[in-house]
Amino acid sequence: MRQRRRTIECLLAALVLLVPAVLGGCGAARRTDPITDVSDLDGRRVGVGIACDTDYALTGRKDLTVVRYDELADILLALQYDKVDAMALDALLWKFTAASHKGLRAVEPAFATSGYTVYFRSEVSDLRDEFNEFLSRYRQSDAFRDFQSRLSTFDGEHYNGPDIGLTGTGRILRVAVDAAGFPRSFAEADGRTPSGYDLEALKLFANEKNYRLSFVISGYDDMIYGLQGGNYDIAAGFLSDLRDADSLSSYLCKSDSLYEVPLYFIEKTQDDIEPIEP
Amino acid sequence: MKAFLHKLYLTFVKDDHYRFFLSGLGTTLLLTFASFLLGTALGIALCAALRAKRPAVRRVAGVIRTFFMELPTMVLLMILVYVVFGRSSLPVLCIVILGLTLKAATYLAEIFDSALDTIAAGEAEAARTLGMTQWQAFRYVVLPQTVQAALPLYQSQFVDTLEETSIVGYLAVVDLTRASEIVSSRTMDAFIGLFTIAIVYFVIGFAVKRLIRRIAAPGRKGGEVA
Repeated sequence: MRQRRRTIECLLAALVLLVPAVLGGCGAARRTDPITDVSDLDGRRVGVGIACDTDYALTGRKDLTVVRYDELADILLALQYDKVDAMALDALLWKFTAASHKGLRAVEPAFATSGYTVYFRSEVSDLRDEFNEFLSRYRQSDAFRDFQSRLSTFDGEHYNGPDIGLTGTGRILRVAVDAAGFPRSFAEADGRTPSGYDLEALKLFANEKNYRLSFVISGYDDMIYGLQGGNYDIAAGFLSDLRDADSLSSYLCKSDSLYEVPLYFIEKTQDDIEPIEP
Repeated sequence: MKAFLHKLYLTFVKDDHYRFFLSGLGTTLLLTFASFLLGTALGIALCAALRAKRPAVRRVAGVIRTFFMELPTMVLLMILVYVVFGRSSLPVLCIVILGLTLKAATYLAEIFDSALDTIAAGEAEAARTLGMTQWQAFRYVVLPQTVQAALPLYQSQFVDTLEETSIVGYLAVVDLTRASEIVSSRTMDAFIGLFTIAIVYFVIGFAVKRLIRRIAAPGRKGGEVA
């Protein structure tokens, strides 16, 4: 009987100690005043997409609390209801968000820059080397200058890339594409044809080398698990190169950067974030 | 073997990733124990309301039970976080504990109610005829049997509550599951993290089930209680 009572007392004591410790950590030194400058983030909670460019860019920053969400819609909801004080987005996602919602502003200047990459299964690292060699030439070409021009004029709603037909007939490469990465990678209206900025260089590369790309419209988790399980050779779509290469598991390797875009803190300018009527 | 050790290093040691797991473990334990203990208290109250003499109280309690039982936990949590407490400065963790408490209380009330149904009404009446007060009859005759009857489902409900905490990552609360997701998003290797948290969930569930059995039925060892 005494032992039972002691056990219950120990459990309650542990709970009493744990509650303030965790809750204290949650609400520590939070600030809600407007952000005046990109360095004015001390004590704020910033919403990011898990495994996104901004997640990697802000992890390790001691002056703010990084709050990781699954979807952009979740971050917007959290910002709307003051669960976070700001969100961090790259320039393309910011344009996409600003085109569909009002009541937001980007804090200038950008706080970092992120490049975007393509993952290869380690067994086909020779392909990665070929692709990097192709990229080094592509980035010197007029086609890449046109690409950058299109990136900078992206209106937030319409992907402005060319329709690159696939002409390769040789070796088949299985490519998983994150369909939820507009405008970087997404499925066209037919639900089967992948498109987006992150796929342009890959398609041009395959055509030049006569590789046949077999696309699978996928999601982030399936893309990574599939690459690990050997279901895919390549994964493409919204893969930031800010991820430390030394941290990556040995089953994959990443390409050089396809292109770079700036990252911004975004804050509310009014109480309600409202969708813009089409 | 070397590759496996390297994966272990990436998952736990590099960049102090183990701290994500420890922090997630703390949050999971807090969510589970807080919502289960508070849920037990609230469940007893709801059970009492379900068996109240006044029909109006029984009806209200029945509506509350049905409402929270039918609502998916994720939907309930999102409504609480973004609608009911949308503008509140209450930490999300507190709101999540409230949501999980309501869910646990609903199921626990049902468990207590069913357990009480298994006790024949005549037993309490017999105790009263032996000179016991109503409280004594409940304390020494009804309650021990109710505890025995409710214990297996009560233990299972603890594991259910523990499992339900794994969805809080969608609300950006870093529990054990979310910690594993964060680390795997750095290493791009999900399996080590997943296996680790699977073992931790199993150990917590197994240990606490035994602890509950030990507290509630100290005389029994091993085997089923009911």
